[in-house]
Amino acid sequence: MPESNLIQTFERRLVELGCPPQQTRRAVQEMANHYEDLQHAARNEGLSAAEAEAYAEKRLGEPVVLAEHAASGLRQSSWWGRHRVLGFCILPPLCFGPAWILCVLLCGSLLWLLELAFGPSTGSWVTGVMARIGQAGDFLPILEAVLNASVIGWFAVLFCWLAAKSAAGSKWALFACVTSAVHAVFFHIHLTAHHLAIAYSWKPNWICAISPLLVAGGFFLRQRWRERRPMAAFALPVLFLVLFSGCATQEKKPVSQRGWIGGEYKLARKKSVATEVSASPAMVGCLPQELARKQKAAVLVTSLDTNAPAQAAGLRTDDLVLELNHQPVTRLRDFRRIIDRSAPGSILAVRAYRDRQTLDFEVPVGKEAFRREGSFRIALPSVVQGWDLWPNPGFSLVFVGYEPNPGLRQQPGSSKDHFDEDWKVFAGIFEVSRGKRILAQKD
Amino acid sequence: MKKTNPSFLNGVPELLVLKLLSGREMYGYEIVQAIQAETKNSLSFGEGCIYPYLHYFEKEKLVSSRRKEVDGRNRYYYQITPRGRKRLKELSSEWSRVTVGIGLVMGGKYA
Repeated sequence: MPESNLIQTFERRLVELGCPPQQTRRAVQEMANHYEDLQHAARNEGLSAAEAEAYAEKRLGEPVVLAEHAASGLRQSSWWGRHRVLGFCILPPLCFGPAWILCVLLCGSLLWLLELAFGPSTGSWVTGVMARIGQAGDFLPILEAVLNASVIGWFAVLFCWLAAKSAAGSKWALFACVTSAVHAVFFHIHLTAHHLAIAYSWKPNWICAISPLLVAGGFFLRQRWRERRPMAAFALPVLFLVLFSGCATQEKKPVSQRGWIGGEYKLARKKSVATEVSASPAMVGCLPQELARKQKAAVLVTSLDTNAPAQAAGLRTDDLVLELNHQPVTRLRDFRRIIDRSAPGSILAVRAYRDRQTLDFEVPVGKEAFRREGSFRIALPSVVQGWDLWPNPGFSLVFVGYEPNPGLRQQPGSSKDHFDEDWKVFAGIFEVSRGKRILAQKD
Repeated sequence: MKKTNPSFLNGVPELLVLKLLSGREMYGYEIVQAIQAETKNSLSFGEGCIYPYLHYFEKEKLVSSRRKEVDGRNRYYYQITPRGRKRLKELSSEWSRVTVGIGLVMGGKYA
């Protein structure tokens, strides 16, 4: 028997209100049985099929109201449904500290059980491993971040599950995830061998804020799927497939070349509050006062390989490049552009400042071979870096943003396979970037 | 402090359902038909409203349910639990007390 509009509306509304699947199925089945019983009764009294249907619909009641009544009943029957503000907005952040303490206690209990089962040497083996991990400086911060993000993420899953079970509605699950994310920004753990510290800090902890937001995204997609809106549920995966298929190609891209003098550079400005506050990796506030009177910025040589043409011409680390090709350099990108556009074999006139003296150099331009490449990545976004308050062409809304490379390039060193990023666009953990893979450098 | 009566007014569906289920197990449609037959159609409500009440009573362990296949259809039959019987007893005595009180007012000097 085909389902009537009344039953379909009833079911749709129950799903929209966030009723758990099992309760929804049962309520729909009972309502459908009742509807059928009413129809049978009406037909037994001599009514036509259409009249019996109208009679059954009238007797059962308005489906939207019935669904709201059912969802409300379900909410009222659980603590989480009755105390939604407390349960989904206030409790989630308060739970993090106790959750961590519980985790530590669980780990301790596990260790104790292992010792009981395999003897006292197990404990010393585990603590020995922990101590060795503690010495690995790079590993421990990653472990901290992963552990913290996992605990907060699992908490978000727990609150989503509670919201679903109590029919509190997806809105409250999302509230729980967002409050968890906001709280996670300031929540830090510090893990060293034999020591775990839980603390709050103003230093933002973006990595941990992402995990509850990912859970919220998953919950939202699941809800859309239940509401039979597959387009919304599939939109994201389809977008990624399109991106992947667009990026995938077997063809070898052509090799291009540009001018090269080697070295790593940053923009030097006069020391000020703005340069101190800015966390831009491309700028330092070290322009001497006597130079600052003449020009607003110069380019600082931060590193120079011995095989670089600039080194061979006499430039050294910590020199300040004032002019390039007889033009003052006040922007790192312009400095890079002049070098890139110079023909290999030509000579670049460089005026630099060293030890309160202005020196002139003639740098022969070498050749750098590269191939243009694009990439699509799923990774923790670069929002973990500090705030860059200096005006720049990019933008960032913390989780969504565009970052052009301000002209920073690293020296490939001995490696001949190096990637220089031109720009990147990111949204959450997804990142698309474009750049140049350096293939060879010759002077 | 003595309990007041609003819970009694909220408890009318509870009283009716528990009273009917104290006789035998029933499914939703049967309960609604029984209410209408017993009250001679003096109570009118959207029949679908009965299910949220039944689910709530089940959660409160006043009734229990079991699924039974009848004529190719899965029906949920509800039966009263010992806790439900205790609650029915409480509600019945409260009902008697209130109806006596109301009767006195209705038949008294203000009638």
